[in-house]
Amino acid sequence: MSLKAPFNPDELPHHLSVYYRRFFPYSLFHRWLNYGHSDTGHFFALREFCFTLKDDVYLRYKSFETQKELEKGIQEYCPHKIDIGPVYSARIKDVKLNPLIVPVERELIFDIDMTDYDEVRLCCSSANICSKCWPLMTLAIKVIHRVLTEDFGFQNILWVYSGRRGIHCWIADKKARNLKSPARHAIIEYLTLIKAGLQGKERRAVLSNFDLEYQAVSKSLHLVRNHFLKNLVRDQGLMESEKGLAKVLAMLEDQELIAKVRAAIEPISGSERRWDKLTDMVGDYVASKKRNQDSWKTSNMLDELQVMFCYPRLDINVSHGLNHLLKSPFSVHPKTGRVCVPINPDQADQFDPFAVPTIDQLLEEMSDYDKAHPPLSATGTGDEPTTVPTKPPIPDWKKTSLKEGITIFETFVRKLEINWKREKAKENIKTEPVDTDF
Amino acid sequence: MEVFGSAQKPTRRQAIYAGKKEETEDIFTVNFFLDPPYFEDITLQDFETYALERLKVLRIFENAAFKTTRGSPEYHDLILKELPKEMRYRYVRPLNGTAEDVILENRRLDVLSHFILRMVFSRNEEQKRWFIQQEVDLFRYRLSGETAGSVGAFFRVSNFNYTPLPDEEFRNIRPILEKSTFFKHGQISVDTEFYKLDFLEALAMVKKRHVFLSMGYAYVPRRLLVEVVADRFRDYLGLEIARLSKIILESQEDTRLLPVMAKLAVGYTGKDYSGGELDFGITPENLDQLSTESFPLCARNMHEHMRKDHHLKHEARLQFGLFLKGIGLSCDDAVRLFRQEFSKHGISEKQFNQGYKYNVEHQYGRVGRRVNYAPPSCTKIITTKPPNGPLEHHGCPFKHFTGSLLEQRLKTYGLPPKDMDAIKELAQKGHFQGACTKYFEFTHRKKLTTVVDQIQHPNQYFEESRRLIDPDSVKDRPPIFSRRRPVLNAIKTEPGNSQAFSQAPPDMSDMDTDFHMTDAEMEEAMRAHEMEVDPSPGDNVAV
Repeated sequence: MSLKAPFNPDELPHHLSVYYRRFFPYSLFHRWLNYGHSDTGHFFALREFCFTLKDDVYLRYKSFETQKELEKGIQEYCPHKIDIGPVYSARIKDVKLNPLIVPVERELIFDIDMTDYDEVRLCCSSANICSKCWPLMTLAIKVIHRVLTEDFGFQNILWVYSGRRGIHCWIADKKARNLKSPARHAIIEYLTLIKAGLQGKERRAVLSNFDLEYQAVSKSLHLVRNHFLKNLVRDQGLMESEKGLAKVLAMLEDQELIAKVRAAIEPISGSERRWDKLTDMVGDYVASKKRNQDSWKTSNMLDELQVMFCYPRLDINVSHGLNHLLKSPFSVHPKTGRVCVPINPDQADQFDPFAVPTIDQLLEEMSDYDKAHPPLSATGTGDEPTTVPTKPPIPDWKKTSLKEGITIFETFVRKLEINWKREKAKENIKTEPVDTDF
Repeated sequence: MEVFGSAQKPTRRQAIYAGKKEETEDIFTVNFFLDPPYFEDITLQDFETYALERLKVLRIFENAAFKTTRGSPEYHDLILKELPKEMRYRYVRPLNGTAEDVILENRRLDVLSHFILRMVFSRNEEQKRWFIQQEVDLFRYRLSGETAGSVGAFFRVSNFNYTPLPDEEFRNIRPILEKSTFFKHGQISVDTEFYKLDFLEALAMVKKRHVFLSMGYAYVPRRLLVEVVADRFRDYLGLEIARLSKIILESQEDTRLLPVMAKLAVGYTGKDYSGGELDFGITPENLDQLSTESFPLCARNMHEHMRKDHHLKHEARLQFGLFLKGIGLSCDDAVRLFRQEFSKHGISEKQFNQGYKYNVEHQYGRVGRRVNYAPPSCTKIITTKPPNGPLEHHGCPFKHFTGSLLEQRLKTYGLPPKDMDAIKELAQKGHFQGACTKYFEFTHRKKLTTVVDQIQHPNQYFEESRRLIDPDSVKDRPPIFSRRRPVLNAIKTEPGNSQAFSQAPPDMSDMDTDFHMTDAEMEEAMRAHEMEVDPSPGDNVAV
């Protein structure tokens, strides 16, 4: 990675114009968002795109009839950021004047942002991330992906790095795209363990005994406990850092208990040994409260504490409506220059946000490749009939580290295509024998 | 007279609904009311009689839900105790061995009375909400009283594709179901039937993680399936009533039926108090006295804050403004009152005219959509938009005040500790309107005398109070009907005629949201004067 060119924001407009001409995967992109509709169906044209230009100028309600038009539009405006909106009931253009045009379809989307974890992060805050806190995102992918596939039965899920400090999730199954707002709300609630407190109280995790037994929660908790022990207690030395210890103790809430635990663990050295001591002491404390009427408040406090530290925190406003915009995959983050590449959820552990190619790096990789592999036609004298120089036999992205991201994206689109072919076949079978039956 | 006009030959389903039972042992009382009653003539008097009887039943359900928790043993006991025998046989469960013709007749009355009340309560949002809530409770009660066999028959007839989980599948996942199904009392029992539904049908349970979920299916025990079907019934009824109210608005038939309907609806759910029926001789000058004597706690609280702080936040202006309108303060007086007070808060004449004045006039229907908005009822105040932070004074004090604040306020108003405790106890148990009723009775030293035995509406509180304190000052104004807007008579419609829908009059059902939006925009304009505006582009863009 020593070759990596540092991102230079001043070059962005120029680099973007190359990027949108040579790297952006228009064809896959169109195949995805057209969802198997025929080209004459105008389905793609109902989708809203939003372009962000220089100095945060927003161009909302852009729509494109075809892939060609989309290409033209993107290359013309060279947006610093591309957002994808919902599918509307009728075509919109530039302004949405008609109030009768409403969103009718939208992928189920999640936005997880590292800033929501600020109260429990030890290493960074706000927009910064490091290799210590990134595993929180990995955990979020694992927990949510399992729920989406195993519990809700969704199959077409695309995870995308947001380019800076978070991740996005697009669930593109037909059922997911057609969910109404209450259903989206229910899915979010199902996933939520950390609730905002009533009237200005801090948010906290509340787990009942039933929750602990409930299969989905118990599976999530298993992941949470592992993450807590490995990443926080061991790798980050949570119990030995003054900042971390203070956060952990504060969550015990009972002042007497906090004082007792603090006194008992301070002489102990070693983060994990301190954690073990704390679990013992809290265990005794919980047992002593068992007969109390409000034992439900304390009985699962250890798990609640761990949930607070690492359970996924969703930005619910993004998910519950149909009309929220979300940054498109393969958009470039204007502040970091990193491409929003898809993440393979089965290998979430291996994903490294710092290895994600920046736009500058892609251009460099491409020119390195071209230097090493001079095109054959360039050596000849030009006898051959029109080899178009802008369309070389190998697509440009294949010459660069964008290849991996595009492969994940292509797998996602192919799987969708297989699904809707299967659905069509089913429909055909269904409609035929009905006539003959009667 | 012809009330329901569908002269077609009844379908098989209709036949069953109207009475032809399917299998002797599978008689069910519960009804989804998918089809209107048979075409038949009934007299105006029968119309009223049937409606009144069903209303009595619904009132018993409302009362039980008010006094106990829905679904609890006390709830069931109370309903059984209160329902007179013949009504119980008719609406809840027939006696074993009831003759077939009696069952048929009961079913006919059930269907007729339900559809009559649908019409009666389709006239405004408040009434619709009340009716739907009670009908859903009745529906749920009946459904949970059915046997396994009769429930199955009911599902078949209503075209619900619910079949219990096959034994083998149940045995395989039983250990998981035992852990992942929420039961309030005790453990899963061997004979509990589970139903496998698309998770979209069981959102309420998915949300709370009360049922096991796998591959998009929710595994719902029969006890909770009742909730699923009841939710479906609620949605269905809501849609049907929305359609119906459009038809009735357009319908010409109003000379005989509408007055009867209006009377029925008002007697049981309260008036809408949109203002002007009664004249109490109200001016901004005597408000202070009236506030002490006759305002309910919510209005008195807002009134006193307005006098003290010379300002009220948006939601309070809305709630208090409409309350004042309801007790008969004129629009000009309301503008004068708010202008006077707000000017002491440093709001200039210009600012007032730009923002607040429009608000007030909008409430009176003078500008904007020109809708005569009704002041919110207790249910609405209690269930929507709680006050957020110490500067917001709207809402219901019995619900939204902390215990100590309520106590302090009641003390200030001179209530003895014994009364105070009684009120506080009701409020803590969640019986906010009960607490308000007690407050009324303690401050007036008299029992409430209306048909309805508790306060349903802040304006009802005021009216009752004036009637007790100064009966002479209450003068009737012409009844609301003479002021009803002329009925459109261009389109003659019949229920079920789909053409009628496409020519529907402007939909008024969203007036609350629309009103709020217009108002919020005004607020926005005002805020620009008061504080710095967040410079973000304001669009929903995720970064």
